[in-house]
Amino acid sequence: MDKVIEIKELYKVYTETAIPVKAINGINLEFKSGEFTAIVGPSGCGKTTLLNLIGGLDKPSEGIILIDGVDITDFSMSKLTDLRLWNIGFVFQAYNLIPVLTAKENVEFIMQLQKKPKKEREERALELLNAVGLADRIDVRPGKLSGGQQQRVAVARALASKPKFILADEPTANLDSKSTATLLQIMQELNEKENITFIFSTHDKRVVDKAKRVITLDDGVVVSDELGELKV
Amino acid sequence: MILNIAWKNIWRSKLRSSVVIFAIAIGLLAGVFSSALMIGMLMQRVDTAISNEVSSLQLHNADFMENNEVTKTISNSNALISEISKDPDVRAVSKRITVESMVNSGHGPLGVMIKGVVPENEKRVSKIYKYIADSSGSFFNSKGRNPIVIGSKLAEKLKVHLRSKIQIDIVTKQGLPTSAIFRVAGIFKTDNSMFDEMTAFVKFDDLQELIEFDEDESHEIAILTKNIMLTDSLQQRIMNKYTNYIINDGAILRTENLSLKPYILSFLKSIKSSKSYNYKSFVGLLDKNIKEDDEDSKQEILKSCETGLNAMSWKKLTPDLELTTQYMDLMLFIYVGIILLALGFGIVNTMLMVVLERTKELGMLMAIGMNRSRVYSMVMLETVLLSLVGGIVGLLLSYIAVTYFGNKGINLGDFGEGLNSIGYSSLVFPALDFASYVKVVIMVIFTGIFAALYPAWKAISLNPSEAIRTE
Ligand SMILES: Nc1ncnc2c1ncn2[C@@H]1O[C@H](COP(=O)(O)OP(=O)(O)O)[C@@H](O)[C@H]1O
Ligand SMILES: [Mg+2]
Repeated sequence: MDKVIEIKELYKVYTETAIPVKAINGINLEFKSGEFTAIVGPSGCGKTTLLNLIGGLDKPSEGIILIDGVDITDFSMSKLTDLRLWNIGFVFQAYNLIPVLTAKENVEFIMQLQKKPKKEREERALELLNAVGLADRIDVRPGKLSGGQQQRVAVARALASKPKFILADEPTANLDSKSTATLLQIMQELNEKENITFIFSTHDKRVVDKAKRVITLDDGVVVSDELGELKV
Repeated sequence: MILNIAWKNIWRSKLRSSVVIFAIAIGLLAGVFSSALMIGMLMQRVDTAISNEVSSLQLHNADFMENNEVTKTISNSNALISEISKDPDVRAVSKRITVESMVNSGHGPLGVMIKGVVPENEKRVSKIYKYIADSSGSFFNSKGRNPIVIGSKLAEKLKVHLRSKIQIDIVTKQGLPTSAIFRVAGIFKTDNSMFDEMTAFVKFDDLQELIEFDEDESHEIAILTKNIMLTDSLQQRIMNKYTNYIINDGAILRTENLSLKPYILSFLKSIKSSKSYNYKSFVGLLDKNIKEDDEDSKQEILKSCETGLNAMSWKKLTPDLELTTQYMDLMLFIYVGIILLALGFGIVNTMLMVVLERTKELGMLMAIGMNRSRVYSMVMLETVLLSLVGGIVGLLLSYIAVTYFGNKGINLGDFGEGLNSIGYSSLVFPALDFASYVKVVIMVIFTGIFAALYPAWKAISLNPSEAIRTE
């Protein structure tokens, strides 16, 4: 399988604070296409920082990040924006959706940014919302959806741009156990059937159990990187 | 898409947006309506001034203009009138003798401008006869020797009534003092109390006899054009035909008092002769030899070299009005501009709150791939749309108010008495043309754009990774 992401000697130091914080302290990692990987570790260990660096939302202090073999660390702001739009799907812990748009419009929105034709947008939005089990909620605004449903719309939105991989930072942190299970099941199915690459952070044991690969961070370094039992 | 989101975003905080919209609407209503009130007042003033006092165009002997000398008459009035009456743009023509006099009734004497008029013709160029109440006589309808129609203020000061006798003292053409007794046949009361105090009308023939003019002599020919727009072109035609320009010794002497630039003076001296130019060719000559930025000098020279007939439009006859009509636009601009400036700060404040409130959402949008120019235009559009909604509501209210009071009029009551004394009516009909509404809409859009600059800049300076983390 192809290496989609390569990280070499990565450091991130936050210097805006009184005492500089070494959030990422020398990380080397590779991610392949089709992975279903959990990044785990206690709060403050650097999960969000790592995902933000991979996603081009932030710049490392040192080291390089290759996406499809291209170093993105010296990309300009606008080049990074384009990279995110075309290559990376994002699911955040909360505030994923535009409140004034319906579920379908939210999924379409990212394709509108990509200037996709209307017909293609609508078809794909319906198809994806169907895949995340929300075919009957397409014209509902986020405010009228449950937390779990909102996260499923966010997954559909992340997929809509046909990204190389999806980064999800604690996507289940605000969900009850039933919604968590549903979301994980949908993500697993997408991974297995459509070969969608997911990299997600969590500190929920039940979520970790579903991952094919588990990377454990502590104090900005990788303390373990193991392949879990494959549940086919 | 961005437009759609921007529009929907406005209604996320209904209360806050409504307050802004309401503020803009009320502000504009105040600004637009008060402009309309001022403009309505001015237009009424221009209109009444033209139809009551000055008419569209007045012809005089060019020399009369200098110091209203009694002897400087238009010597061929009747032929001139029949000639001008043929012009298709002319509605009515009337000749006048105007002379300063002292009037006395036992009270007085008072200085008054006496106008000798031909009643039938005068009624067609000026509406003064309409300002005589039924109980106050008429504009020369009754029979009887030496009738005079005076203003109410004058009547008050002279303590005279209808049919009272007044003595009038003037100087004849030959320079001899003379006097006659006139009997009050009508008392008019206009909105302009100064005019009412200073003006009296007598019959042309009566005054002509008293002042010892020839039958064909008059001081003034008043012309009313079919509409106000036709005035300038008629003036040009008349001047081309009847006004001459001569640069003789007298003219050079007069121009030397004007403090003209040296090159202009020497140019004038160089073309000194007894040759007479018509208006067109003289203006052409001046245009060719005098630089464009010396336009004022040109006007002065024209005045100094003029002979024959002088034609003056209402714009020159009431220069204050001409000036104020020019400033109508500016007035709207200033009134509405100041109000929008104040409202603009409120809009900036509101949009800053919006950006602050939506930090996480904006961060998310930038994170998933919305570039800065789209984020910028989203905030910009939201601001402009918000302003525009307020603007349209405000203009709608203004339109309703201006139309309603434009038909009904607003009585300025006690305040109106002060207005009368400077020639304005106390019943005001606000008026505003369509173009002005369009101008206000454009001003509102620009206010929105300017008010959006800072909040939109704030929005794009967010760092997406930090914006998402914000608690
Ligand atoms: N913008 C920032 N400025 C300073 N320190 C930060 C900033 N963001 C994160 N940190 C610090 O970096 C460390 C890693 O944070 P984070 O990546 O959010 O961890 P996690 O997502 O695993 O909880 C923490 O100590 C956190 O306080
Ligand atoms: Mg985190």
